[in-house]
Amino acid sequence: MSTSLAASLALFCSLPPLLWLALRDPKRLRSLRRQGSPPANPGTRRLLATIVALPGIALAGLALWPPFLIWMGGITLAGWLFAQALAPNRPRDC
Amino acid sequence: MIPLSQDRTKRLLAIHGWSAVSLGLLLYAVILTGVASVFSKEIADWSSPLPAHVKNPFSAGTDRMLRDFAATVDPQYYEEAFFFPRAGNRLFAFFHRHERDDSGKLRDRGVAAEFDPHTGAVIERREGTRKEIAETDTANALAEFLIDLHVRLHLPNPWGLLLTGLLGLAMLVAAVTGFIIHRHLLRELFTLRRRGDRLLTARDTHVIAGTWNLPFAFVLAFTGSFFSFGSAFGIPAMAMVAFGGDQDAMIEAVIGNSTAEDATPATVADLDAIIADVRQRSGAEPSFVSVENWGRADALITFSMNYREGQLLGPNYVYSGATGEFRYAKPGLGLAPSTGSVLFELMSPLHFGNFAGVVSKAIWFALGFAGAYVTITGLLLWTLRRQDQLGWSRLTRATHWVGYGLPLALIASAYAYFPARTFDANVQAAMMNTFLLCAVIAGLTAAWLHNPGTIKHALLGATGVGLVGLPLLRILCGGPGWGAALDAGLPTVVAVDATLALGGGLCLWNLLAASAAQTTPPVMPDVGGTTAAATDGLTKP
Repeated sequence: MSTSLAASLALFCSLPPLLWLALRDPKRLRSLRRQGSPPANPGTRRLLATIVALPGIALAGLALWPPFLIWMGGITLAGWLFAQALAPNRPRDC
Repeated sequence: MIPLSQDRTKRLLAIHGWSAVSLGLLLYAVILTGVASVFSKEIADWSSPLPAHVKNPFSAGTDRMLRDFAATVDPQYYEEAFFFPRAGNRLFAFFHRHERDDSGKLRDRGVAAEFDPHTGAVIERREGTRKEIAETDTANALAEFLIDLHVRLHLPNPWGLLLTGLLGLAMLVAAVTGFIIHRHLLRELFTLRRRGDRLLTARDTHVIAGTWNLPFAFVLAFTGSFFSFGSAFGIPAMAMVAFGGDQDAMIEAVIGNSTAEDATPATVADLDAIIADVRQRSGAEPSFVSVENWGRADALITFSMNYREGQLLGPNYVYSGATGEFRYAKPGLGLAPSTGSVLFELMSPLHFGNFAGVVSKAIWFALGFAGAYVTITGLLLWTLRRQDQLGWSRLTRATHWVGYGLPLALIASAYAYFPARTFDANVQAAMMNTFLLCAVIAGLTAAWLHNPGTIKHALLGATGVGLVGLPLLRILCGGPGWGAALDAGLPTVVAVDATLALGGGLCLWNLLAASAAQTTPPVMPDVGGTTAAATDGLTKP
C-alpha cells in the first residue's frame, strides 16, 4: 500500500471521532455557554480518543513509519484547525 | 539575593525583556524561512525551469555528458566529483580537489557545470572554490537565499550555525516550559474563547496552537539543533578529540569508504549501466552521486538514493569506478549497520519532511507554519500585556515589524531576483540588498505608525499585493506563462504561481475583513487597560 493511501485511510478513520471530540468537548461548550449540545461523558471521550489513536497505533505496529508521521502531522493540524474553526468569531455568534 | 533599587530593577527587567524578545524574533525568522525552505526544490523549479520538464535528471546519456565534461577538466580536479539534480532538474556536476586556505581551513576548488539532461548540453560552466561557485549561481539562487537564511541567518561559519543551533535549543526549552506551565493541557485542547477579554483570546490562540504543535516542535527543534551543532561544533570537536584535529581523517573514518590506494589510470566504467543497476537494486532514484578518484583504478562511486516508497531509511550503494562492479551497500555512518547510524539517518526525514513527496512536504510546511504562528503569537502576547510601559511598547512595535515585515522582505528578495537575473546583475547582492532595504522600510513604517494594528495592516497589505504580483513579475522577466508551462509539462510553475496568488489573496481578504470590522461599532469592552486597536493583531489572526 502506498504511503499516501495508508496515511489517508488512517486519517479518514481518525478525523471523524476527533471532530466529535471537539464538538462535544465539555470545556469548549462551557465557554460557549450553550444549552443545546450536551458534553460527552468521560467514558465516551476516552473511547473516542482511543478510536482516534488506533489507526496511528496500527501504522506504528506495522512499522509503516512514513504514513504514521503523516497521520500524526495530519491529526495535530486537524485538531488545531477544529479548535480554530469551532470558536465563534464574535460574541453575538454564541 | 542582590539588593537593587527600583530604577535598577526596572532597567534590568527591560534588558531581560529586550534580550528574550530579540532571541524570540530571531527564532521566528529561522522557523519562517524553514517553512519556505520545505518547498525549496519546488521554489527552485518554479523560478528557473528548463524549457521542458525533465522527469529524470540521471537519464540515459548521463555517462556521455559527464565523460565529455571530465575531458575538459584539469586532472588535478579528479580527486572527487559530485553529481546531483538542481533547479528544474538540471544536472549539476562539480569536479574538485581538497585544499587548505591561508588560515588552514579545508575547502574545495574545481570546475562545475550545469547540464540540460534532455539535450546533454552544458548550460553553464564555472570555476573556483565551492564558495565562489555558489556565489555566482543564478538558477538556484532564490531557493538558496531562503535556505541560507534558515540555516545560518546569512552569518559566516561557524557563527550562524551556532546561533541557529542555540535558537533550536531555545525552542526546545520553550516547548518544555510551555508544556510544564500549562496545567490544563488536555482539558483545553479545543477551548478558544473569543468573547470578553481580548488578551484571554490571544492567550488561548497561542496555547491551542502550541499544544497541538508540541510533538513536532520537539522534533523540529531537536533535529534542527542537531544539524546546526553537528557541523559547527560536533565535527570539529570530534576531530580534535579523536583525530588530532584532522577533520578529513575523521570524516573518512566515520562516513567515507575505506579502500586500498591505487593511482593506476583506468577508464571510468559505463555510468549509465551503473545507474540502471543501482535503480534496480534500490528501487529508488539517485539523489546524489560522488566519485572518488575519477579515472583511477581505485575509483569508488557512491550513490545516495531518494526515499523508497514506504521507507524512511535506506543504504548508500558503492560501486567500483573502474569496473562498474557493485561493491557493497553501506549505511549513512560507518560501513556496518548500527543504531547510531539509524538515528543519524532519521534526522533528515524528520527535519525536512521530504520522505513522501509533496504530501509529506505539505504537512511539514503546515506544521512549520504552526510553529511560526506559536512563536509570534507568544511574543505578541508577552509584549502586549506590558505595552503600557514605554520600553515594552517599542518591543510590541518591533514584534509587529518582524512578524509581518519578514514575510514582506522575503517576497521583496524574490522581486529582486527575477529582474537581476534577466539583466545579468549580481543576483545574490540584489536579493540581499533588497531584503535589507525592505526590512528597513518596514521598520521605519512600524516606528512611524505606532499603533500595532495599523502596522499589521500596512505590512500585511503590502505582503498580499507582493504575493499576487510575483507570478506576473516572473512572466514579465521571461518565465513561461501558464499555457506554455502546462504545454512543457511544468505543472510546478503553475502550482507555485497559484499558491502565491492564493496566499496574497488571503492576506488582502484578512485586511478587508479587519477594515470592515473596524467600521462596525465595538461590541466588547477593553479589558486590562488594553485598547481594541492595540490587540487587533492578536484577535483577528
